[in-house]
Amino acid sequence: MTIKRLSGVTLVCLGVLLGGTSLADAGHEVTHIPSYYPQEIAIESVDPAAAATELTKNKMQAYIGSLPRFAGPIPKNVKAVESLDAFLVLSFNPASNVSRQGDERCALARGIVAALAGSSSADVRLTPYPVTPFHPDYLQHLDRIEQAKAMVASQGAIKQALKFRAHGEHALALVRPRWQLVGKGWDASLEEVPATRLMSAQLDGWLGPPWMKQGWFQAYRLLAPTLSNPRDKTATESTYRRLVYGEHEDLTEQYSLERRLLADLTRGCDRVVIGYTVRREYYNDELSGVENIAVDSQLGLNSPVFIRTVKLKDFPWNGWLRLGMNEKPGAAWNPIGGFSDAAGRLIWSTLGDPALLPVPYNGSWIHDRVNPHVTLAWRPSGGLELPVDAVVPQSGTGMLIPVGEKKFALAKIVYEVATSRFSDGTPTEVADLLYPYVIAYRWGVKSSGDDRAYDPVIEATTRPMREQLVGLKVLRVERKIEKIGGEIEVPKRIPIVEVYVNFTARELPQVAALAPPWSTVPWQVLVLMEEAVQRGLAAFSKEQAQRLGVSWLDLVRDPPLQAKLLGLTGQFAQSGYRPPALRELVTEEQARARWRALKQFAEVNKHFLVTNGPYRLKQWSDTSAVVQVDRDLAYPGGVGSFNHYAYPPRAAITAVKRDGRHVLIYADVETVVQEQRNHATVREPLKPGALRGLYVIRTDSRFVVIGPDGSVLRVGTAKMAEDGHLVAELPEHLPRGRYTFLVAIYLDGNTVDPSAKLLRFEANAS
Amino acid sequence: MDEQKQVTRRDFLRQLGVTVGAAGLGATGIGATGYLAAPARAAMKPKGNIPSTPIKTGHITFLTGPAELLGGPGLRGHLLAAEEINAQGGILGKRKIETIQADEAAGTDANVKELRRMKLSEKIDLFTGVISSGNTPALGPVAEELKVLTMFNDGCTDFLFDKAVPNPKYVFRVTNIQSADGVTAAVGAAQHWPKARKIASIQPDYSYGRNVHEHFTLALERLTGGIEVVAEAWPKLFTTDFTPHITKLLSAKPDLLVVGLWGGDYVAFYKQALRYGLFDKMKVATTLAFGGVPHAVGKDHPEGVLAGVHANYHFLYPPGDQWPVNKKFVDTYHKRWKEYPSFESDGAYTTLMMYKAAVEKANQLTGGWPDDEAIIAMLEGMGYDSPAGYVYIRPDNHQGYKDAVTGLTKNLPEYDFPVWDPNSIVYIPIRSITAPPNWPKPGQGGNNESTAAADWIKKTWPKAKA
Repeated sequence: MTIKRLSGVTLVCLGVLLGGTSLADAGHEVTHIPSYYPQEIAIESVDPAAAATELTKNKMQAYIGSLPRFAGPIPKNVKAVESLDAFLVLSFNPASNVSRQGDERCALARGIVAALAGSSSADVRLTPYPVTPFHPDYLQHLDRIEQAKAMVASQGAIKQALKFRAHGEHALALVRPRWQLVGKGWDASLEEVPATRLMSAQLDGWLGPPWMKQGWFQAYRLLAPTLSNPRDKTATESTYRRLVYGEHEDLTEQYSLERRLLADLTRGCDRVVIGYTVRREYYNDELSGVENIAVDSQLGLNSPVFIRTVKLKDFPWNGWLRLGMNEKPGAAWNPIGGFSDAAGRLIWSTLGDPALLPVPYNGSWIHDRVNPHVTLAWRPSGGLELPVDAVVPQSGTGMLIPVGEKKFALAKIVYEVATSRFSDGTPTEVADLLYPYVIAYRWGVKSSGDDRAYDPVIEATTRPMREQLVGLKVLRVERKIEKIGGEIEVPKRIPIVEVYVNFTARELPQVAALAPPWSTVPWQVLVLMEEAVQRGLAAFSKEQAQRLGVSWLDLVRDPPLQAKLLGLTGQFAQSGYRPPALRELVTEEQARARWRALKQFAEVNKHFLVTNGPYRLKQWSDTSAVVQVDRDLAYPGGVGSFNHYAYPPRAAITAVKRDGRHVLIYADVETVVQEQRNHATVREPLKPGALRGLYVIRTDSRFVVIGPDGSVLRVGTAKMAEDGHLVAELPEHLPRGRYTFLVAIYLDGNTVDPSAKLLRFEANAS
Repeated sequence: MDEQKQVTRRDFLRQLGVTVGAAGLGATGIGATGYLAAPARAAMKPKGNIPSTPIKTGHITFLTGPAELLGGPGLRGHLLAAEEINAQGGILGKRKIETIQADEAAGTDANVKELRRMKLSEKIDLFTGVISSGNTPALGPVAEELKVLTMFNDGCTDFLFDKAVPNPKYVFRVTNIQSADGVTAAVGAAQHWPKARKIASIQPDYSYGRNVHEHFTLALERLTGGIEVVAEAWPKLFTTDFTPHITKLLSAKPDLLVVGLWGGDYVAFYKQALRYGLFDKMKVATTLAFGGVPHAVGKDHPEGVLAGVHANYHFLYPPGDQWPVNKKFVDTYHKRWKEYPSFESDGAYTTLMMYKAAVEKANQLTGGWPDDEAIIAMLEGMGYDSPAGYVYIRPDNHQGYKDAVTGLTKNLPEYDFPVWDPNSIVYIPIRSITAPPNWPKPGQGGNNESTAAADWIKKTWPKAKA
């Protein structure tokens, strides 16, 4: 018998170095498993009836975005999660004579909502206000929402016969029994506007502006374009600008601005949000189903955090996950103006990696590929001065040019960037991190008459970043060795990049999410796409493709384009092509190596979708995509990294009492407890040190005091007493009048559908 | 060792004290000297003045990442012990236990910093936890330097007391050592499949896999004789596609396959192996099939596989009718945490209970709250009847030893996951498979093997007749 003795082994192909430790140094436990739970994810188009069967039989673990069609009652082994789906938006035909003036429109809208009373359901919630419980800023609008409901109730249903136009399944279901549906000559229109449409579009590793989940932002996107009153329009733009630049001193002023914006947006009733619909997505919950599911309050299961948490119950990690969707992947697969439909977004969530990703249950952001350190300027100081050798992309060309002397910004963010290798084997380097800025400023600005050098979708997606980015500077690239489990050494390269922006916020991750230096695609793929667009072979976005009469750039599923791209790659590999913006950062030889790697990758894999995200594209068809996990040791995220975002606790307020200058709040806490392979919700009184699993729950009891005139007087946090009840302190010396006290309790930051309460009280002059 | 006498396999296993099935526990003795601290024993009245300040315990374990599969149950075991102790007023009826927890996933350097912080800022009285064998050798010397009483409940590498802390004073460890894994699987295989000669091995390509392969083949050769390793598969770290390895193993037509894969890697392997009918074509012995929480493996797992528990503990053994300590522990743990305990749960629970027992014993001798020297003196050589059976802490190396167990998988209707067939459980006195006190450490006294256990087996185990 021969016993094989192996000394330290070098796993070169993984880029892993094993130290010279002895055989017995490490245990069985591998302490970091890069990328996320499933080893393979299949995303397939499945019709709702088949989805119901396959979910029930656990042949499919979740159905994303739409309802399966169950033949009978929903089986017990299938469960649902909820998220905001769409706004129900009412508008009036200017050509119709039913309603011309703002007041008339508002009255008519209230009458229509009143006529729909009783039609609310679990899926359709008729609340005539644009901010919903799925928005992180719901609390500060609670009195306005109550007021809007009260006005509807007091007005009563309209008796008028109206001709309606309706779009969307729920909108049609609301209108059809009550009013006449017509194609032309309509008086009123009811449509469903998906919340995702208002959250801006993704581009490479940027997912949208930092405030994309805020109710005020979505209300602005929804209502501002149709405002007809010039005064409302001017006021709206002014307030909106203050909010997106963070021009407010404290939460009291911020909440005041948000309420003011909503008041201006809703005053004229040009468009009226009369309610919202809830997205219900189903998953298999049996012993071999899935668990550890983080659900984004607005994106639902079609979100990066779902892909990064979902776990098959049969596997501590690994396993084959099958997800169904009603839609076929229709949008082109390119990371600049593509992946824009539901299937595309889900597929891109697996292949790409955002710099930061949205916290699923509030409006903040989670660090994914960057670790930011934010410094805010004291506004009266004029800001933080930029170093003279900082650069800023030039509008129209994207060239990185010096910012010059005496340039100031409101915030500085120093990013440590967590790099890893791309799927073509090349490492993520500084040039990769900076090239998305070049794309944004080159293609997002229409600087000449040449339509081919511009894309309206890139302009819209990158506008907040371009308007508020002041400059950036690459400080250095740090190198270190990280040890895993005492045995495995992983070399890490960490670029440190300083970015200056004119944006401040109390939630510092929001500041970091505006313009992070990050790309999940190597620069050579971005350049290849640019060259294809410039040569008229394709366009980044659907809109521009239609305008120019060219194909929508698809890096995977367009064989004729593939052939041309392969040819270009070969040419660039020979010439060592570098775009002008990268000449200082990439040598000709480095460029040759990059193009060669890309060519080889494309020849082997038959596509150009190279990324540094957690999964790689393995197979695809017109109706499906299969991605395989890439367990690159240098990949920073790992199995369990985002577990904290699954099953957040929730508070349930049981009583609110005024006691002189104080308001006392009593609440329970609801947590999800894992019971082997099942989960149960447990409710118990909220107390100091209440646990969620093994962690103490963070309690944030936020209250808002509204004055008799509707202004925000105070925003504060109630303090927890020893027995667990919370105590909010009211402002001193309140003038005589009727006040409103709003309160919500956020546990571990969970703002979704909070148990918010409203207390009205009289103050006597004191 | 080549000149050693030959014995029959049956005689050899008898000499080792190996028993199978329900007879196991009844056949055991404490296995070592030292007094026995019994949790069920009526509490003795504390002597002297006992302060009422809490005992501060620092507990570092994996709260995130894949090793949470181990760390979570460990912390739950620790907290259950603390709750039980506190419900009785605390240790010596006065001092309640407070736990300061930290996530071991922060990395070795961060763990070392955290231990320093816990001792210097939080003034902890006791340091517990630690899962990773990469961390115990780093934390052990620091604990000695800080003079903080430390009771690791895992981090099982032989290296800790073989090399990193060869002469421990403050550092103890309760869980069995790593080399016991491979040896336990070998004993289990020899017991159940004595005729297996053609051996295949699939191991993770890092040190644990090499440790299992080395100790398994070494022990099995002595136990049954004449074995031939016909195939070795070393899947790289993070392999998800095991099919090339499975086809290689099948083509070698082994009698027996030994598997050292763990967690999700093991589950991915067995599910892929099922498609190839691997389990119908050979016997399979594992070191860690039941190495996580019991419900981690599904009922599609084949029956009749030797399912290792890191040579430590499975909640069904010792059976409740024979060992009420375990029944009580399993019942209270399940009631508190809605799941069944793992070997980490038992290890962390026992750790805190042994500390309590040591304090109580020292108090009887010294009066008042004993100092660390007195507690250490009580821990050295302590025997304790834990849920897993008797645990004995050897005075020479501060290592806890409990008898090793393994068994064959079976699906019983009362559980949603596979458990052991009660009639198949192999019980091995730990003294029979680990090097005795003062055996030369690797690199000393002619020991050129990777562990003291390997050297001891090579030099002292007889060779069974083939």
